[in-house]
Amino acid sequence: MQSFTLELYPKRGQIHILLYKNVTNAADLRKRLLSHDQELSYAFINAKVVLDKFQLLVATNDAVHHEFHSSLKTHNVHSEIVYNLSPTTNISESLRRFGISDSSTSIVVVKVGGNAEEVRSHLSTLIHGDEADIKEFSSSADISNMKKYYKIDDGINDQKEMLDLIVGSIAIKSST
Amino acid sequence: MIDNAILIKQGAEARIYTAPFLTRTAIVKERFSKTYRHPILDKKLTAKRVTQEARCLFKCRKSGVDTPVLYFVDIENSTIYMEFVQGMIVKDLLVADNEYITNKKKQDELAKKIGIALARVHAVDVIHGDLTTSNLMLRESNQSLVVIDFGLSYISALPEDKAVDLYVLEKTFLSTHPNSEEMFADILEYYQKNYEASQGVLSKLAEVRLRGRKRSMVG
Repeated sequence: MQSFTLELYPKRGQIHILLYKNVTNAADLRKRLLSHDQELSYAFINAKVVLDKFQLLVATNDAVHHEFHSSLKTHNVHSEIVYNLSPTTNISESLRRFGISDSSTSIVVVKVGGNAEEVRSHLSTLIHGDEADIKEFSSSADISNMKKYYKIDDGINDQKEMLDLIVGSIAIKSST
Repeated sequence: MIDNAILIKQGAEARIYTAPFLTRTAIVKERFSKTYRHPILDKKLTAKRVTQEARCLFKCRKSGVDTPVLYFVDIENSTIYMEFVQGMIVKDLLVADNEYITNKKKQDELAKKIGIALARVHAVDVIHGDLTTSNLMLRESNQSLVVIDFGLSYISALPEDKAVDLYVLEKTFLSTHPNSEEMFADILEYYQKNYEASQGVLSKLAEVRLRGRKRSMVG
């Protein structure tokens, strides 16, 4: 787990990012998300489409910004993070691609606000899996799917270059 | 504005700061309101320019031109957050770096990079709008040519607009860098080699040279 402060919205609280591997109850989590279970006030993200924490922070900053200006496109700040990760404005497609599916085994969680240790202990009761170091993002990334989703040229294989283009697509979407 | 932001430049359209942003260092470009304009009109125009700048910047980046990476567009506060590029400004290299002033090979290398970058910018119909040697940089890490400041950029497929873009650059070359005619000719040569539709632009450039940047409105 790592925690960050958004320079533009320090009063909103810390942003906590966690990675879980070998998750066995994704289907159950997804069902609870779809029924708007208030206990799941987290962004659950498919780890296969995450390359770096910076990608998550840019999407989270956008979501908190839109929350502040009352211009959220989805129900709450956490679903907005998942939606913002996608470069398209199709909400259901964005949530399907960047959110968790029934078969997900690697899950990234982003939490806006709250105490770091309380977040972690609460998540340990929700998620059946092993917490991993968030430096391991790129090892679980599905590069070819990410290229498809972010419309990145096949010839680009440098991960830094990919991340730059991904971050740009996320930033440009929220400006339209 | 971010607490630790440092003002580094104030122009006619915007203030430029550097600030820590989401674990990195960002350039923060904040357009300010023009008090001589009607507030409602000013808000609309500023918002439009901010989006336009971000779009042109990212369109170029996507098509292989090195530009600062876009981090965040804050329409409500007319501010763009982007990568802080470590490097040298081309103008400073040509004015003060002896290697560039005396070494023909160095100049040719630079001309090639500029020509290719401009070819790519124009190939996706982006008109930079303020092409000067102050808005071109060399990235410290890999010596790649970075195009910056898309504040006056817009989208146009017209050879006329692209020719004016080149003409503005030619003017800065001739006025701020003495004996640079040859280097600018090299830039155009690389531009031509790397851009399929360059012929129309270059013949327009000849027209623009005769009449200047502004089109004659007579007749």
